[in-house]
Amino acid sequence: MAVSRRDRGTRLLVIGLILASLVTITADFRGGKTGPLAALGDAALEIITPLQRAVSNVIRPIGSFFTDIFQVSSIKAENAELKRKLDEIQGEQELVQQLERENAEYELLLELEEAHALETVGARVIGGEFSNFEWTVTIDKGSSDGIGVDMPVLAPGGLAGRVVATTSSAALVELVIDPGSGVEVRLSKSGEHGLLIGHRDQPLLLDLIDIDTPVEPGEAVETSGRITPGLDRIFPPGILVGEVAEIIPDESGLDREILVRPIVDFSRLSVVSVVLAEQPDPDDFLPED
Amino acid sequence: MRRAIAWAVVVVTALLLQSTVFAQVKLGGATPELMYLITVIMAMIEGPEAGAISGFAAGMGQDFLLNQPKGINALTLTILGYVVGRVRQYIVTPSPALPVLLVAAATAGGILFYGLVAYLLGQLPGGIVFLFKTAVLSALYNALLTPLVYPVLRRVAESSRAKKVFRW
Repeated sequence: MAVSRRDRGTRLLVIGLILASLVTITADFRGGKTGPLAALGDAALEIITPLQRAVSNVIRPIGSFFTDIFQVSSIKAENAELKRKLDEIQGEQELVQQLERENAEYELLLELEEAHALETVGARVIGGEFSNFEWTVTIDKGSSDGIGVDMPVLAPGGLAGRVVATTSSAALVELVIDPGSGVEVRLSKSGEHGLLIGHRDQPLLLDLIDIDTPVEPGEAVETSGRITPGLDRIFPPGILVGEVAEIIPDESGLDREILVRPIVDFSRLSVVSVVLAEQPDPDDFLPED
Repeated sequence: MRRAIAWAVVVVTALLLQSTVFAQVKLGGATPELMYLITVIMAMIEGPEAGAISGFAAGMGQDFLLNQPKGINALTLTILGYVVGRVRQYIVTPSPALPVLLVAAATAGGILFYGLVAYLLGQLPGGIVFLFKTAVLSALYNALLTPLVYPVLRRVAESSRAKKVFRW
């Protein structure tokens, strides 16, 4: 008897928890980005990011070490790699190399910023994606540094993505490889405008390009400066996003798929800069009375 | 109370590891799903009730820290914790491979369920093939991590439980 009563209690509890989950799903779905749950989510981000930063600082030097181990195919090669890495660590070589690399990346970023005369804030990547279903990173600068939602984010070489959420000291960046990401771009040679859509770890898809427009592999793809649907801000024009990797014609010959290799190496993103300057209001282009 | 605190520490630690270390160390492009892993192990050790509560807490934790569609992980993990806790009661085997197999099966099942709910809400990125691939790879990854995580969680569960019994 006691057992069955306990069972019933458990069942009620589980049903209660499931209902609570369903209510949360519904409330969030209806509330969208401005609902009370979104605010709670931002608050949670506020708590987790300082911790993330601390862990990230500790594991940063060892992180690339683990990545290397993981990618080695045979044990023999792994052994050699380990020995080599060990030597490097002993001499603090690792740290020096990392600093050098970061320095080079900062220089690249600086070039990009200067070339486009943009007002930016530099930031470090302190966290990768939380799960398998999104392509975002956390950076260590937030609203107190002037960062706001929808601001473009640059990485060494070109465009990395845009800010989707902020706390006072951190921000969440949606990368251009996220399937939800769409960037208004143009082809450098023909000047044809298109929409660049994220495709996870695979090359980006370039859509809305006229079938008659000549496109060749290697052609640069840069932001067009047009207003991207659904965003409040626009990406500044002329920022390199990637280059055409492959053109796959449709069987019917009526359409084709244009694959674009991103210029930024997202697997080892460590420094970025967020473009602060207010983008021109589209209304500014309207003729004045 | 003691258990709740211990559990909160476990969840936050796992979330931190998932977003820092495991975001870099991927298996075929997939990260492990540590929330699934600890929920399943907790359900195995403590039974369906604790499994459901742990799953709910872990799921909510991940949902809110994700800043993504909220509640889906909580729903998935509540059910997963309860079901695994229930199933565990009917399996009588001393085999040390049991946790590994249960974790693998439960992770794959859980991710597919998550995908189904996300799909119904129109919020599943990546498509069906990607979902299945992720389910398989993450299940494998979680299974590999089980021998490391299981003893740790078992110790956490036992130490917090022992104090409680002693006090009475």
